[in-house]
Amino acid sequence: MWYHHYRVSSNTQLTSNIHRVVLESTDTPISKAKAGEFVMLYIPAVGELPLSVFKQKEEELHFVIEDYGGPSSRAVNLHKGEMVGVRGPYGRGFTLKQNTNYLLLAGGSGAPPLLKFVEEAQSTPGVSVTYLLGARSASELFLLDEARSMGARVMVSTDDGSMGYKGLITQLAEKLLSEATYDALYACGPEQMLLAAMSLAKRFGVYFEGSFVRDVRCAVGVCGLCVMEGTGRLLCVDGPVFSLHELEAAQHGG
Amino acid sequence: MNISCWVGNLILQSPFVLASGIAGNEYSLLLRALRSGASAVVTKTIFKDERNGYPPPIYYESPNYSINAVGLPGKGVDRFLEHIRRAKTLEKPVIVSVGGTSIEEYGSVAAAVAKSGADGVEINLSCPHVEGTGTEFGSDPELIRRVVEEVKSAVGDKPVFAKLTPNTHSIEGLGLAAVEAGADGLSAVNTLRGMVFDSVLEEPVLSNVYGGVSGRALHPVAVYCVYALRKALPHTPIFGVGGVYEVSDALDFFLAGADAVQVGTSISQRGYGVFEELKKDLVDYLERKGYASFEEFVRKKRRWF
Ligand SMILES: Cc1cc2nc3c(=O)[nH]c(=O)nc-3n(C[C@H](O)[C@H](O)[C@H](O)COP(=O)(O)O)c2cc1C
Repeated sequence: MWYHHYRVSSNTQLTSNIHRVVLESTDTPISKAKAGEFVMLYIPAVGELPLSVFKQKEEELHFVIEDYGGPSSRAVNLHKGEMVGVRGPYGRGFTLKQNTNYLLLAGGSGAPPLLKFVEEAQSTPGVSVTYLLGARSASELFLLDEARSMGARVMVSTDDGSMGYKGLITQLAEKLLSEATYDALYACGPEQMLLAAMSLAKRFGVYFEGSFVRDVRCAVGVCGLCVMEGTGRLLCVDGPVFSLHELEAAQHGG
Repeated sequence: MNISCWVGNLILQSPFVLASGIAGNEYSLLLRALRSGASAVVTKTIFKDERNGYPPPIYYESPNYSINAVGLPGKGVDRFLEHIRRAKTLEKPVIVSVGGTSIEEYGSVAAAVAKSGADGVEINLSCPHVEGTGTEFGSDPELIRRVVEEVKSAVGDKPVFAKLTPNTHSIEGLGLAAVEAGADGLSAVNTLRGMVFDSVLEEPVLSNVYGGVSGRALHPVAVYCVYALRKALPHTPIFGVGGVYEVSDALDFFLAGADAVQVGTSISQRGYGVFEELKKDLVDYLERKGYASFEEFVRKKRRWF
């Protein structure tokens, strides 16, 4: 089946432009997604957009959606009872290993796949997770209790200092990395933040994975439009999560 | 086992080429296809100016077919030329697919890519879902003639392939027009016009409403087109294109008279690894059948011609 059909069961506003939307399956639900994997959400007469899965139960799918224009502006306004199509899950998510100390960096709407990762990490032996959420100001932070209740150490950064560390999330991460040892740094958020996180990981010799964004259209590797430039890798099938190694090998033509 | 072949004056290490539109137009992805075993690549169709293409949904797949209306997005030829140069580091042919909304545009794009090192040009006379290009030129033999002449005179001695549409009552008529106008070879075929609905949502799936059918359902149609063209044009190099998943699909094309095949939609299920698998399975087939080379197999006289 290409589209699995779902009905919107709730839509909760989390910040001025970020909503939590819950869907309920009306036929067969999509198969289990791992943290970082994504689906294509089809809103009839509006269009399709890629979304990473935030939570998934038998019949339910939860998304945290940011209004960044295009079909996402409509997606944040989905109302109870509306029917949509979902296809996926697609791509490769974050790798989760036992006995690992993770530092997670979520920039704004980059939180959902990392929150899902926190959930998966809960039941994995020997894993500890520090979850950082960064935003411009306190009013843009969301789902912090969610992360805490799943056992993560939670810290926040705001550009204006209205809550938590004053500054960029990567500056907070730099501080933590120089104070303690982490085995892996995972990030999701704006590309600039991802690149900064990547170079931090390199500097501190920490394993890195980041979830990137490109123009996903077919989502199955045949239109070539979501290529990670210079790497020969497609975001939709090889990503959206890439390790430092995958992105670097490629820059040297690998 | 030697499975290399000539398609016109291009020598290919195997008869398995990447079809247009799959790896887009970024050099690193074209190189990935070549490194994964494609013997040549055809780029996504390139136009003079930047084009956005259609918004998603642009693609739908069922077990039996795919349908797409990507809308020919691209950066425009000027920003593409550097990618041709960079894709050419492996000594495998890079064939550039050229488009146009006028005869002059086809010619000027072809001239630019030929100058930047394209090893051949494939003229997209067959995209079924964009107004003012593709099938609109490619279903009229007279327009095919004029486009092919224009492109031919623009690219010097580089080989020119005309990519034909199956949306016609006479594929031979289209092929003859292209070859008479100077095309060095043919690619048969592009997608069949089609559409698909989601009956639960009561909506057409593609944002463009209709699109082009590829994959398994297109395969027998494409094989027939190659056969009809081969009968009409015994010596013209022909790429068979449409629904190559397994080596048996490629063999259909060779038995129908194709010199080589292009692989597109099956990459969604098989990934770029499909090229090495096809090569291996072709070698196995030829060995089992006792052929000394691929060349011997394709040159064998067949009673259906
Ligand atoms: C996503 C997609 C994009 C395509 N883009 C182009 C294109 O830009 N130019 C072109 O000549 N053909 C294009 N095609 C057609 C293919 O090159 C090929 O002719 C057709 O899909 C049949 O082969 P297949 O069944 O192996 O895919 C495209 C096909 C697909 C599926």
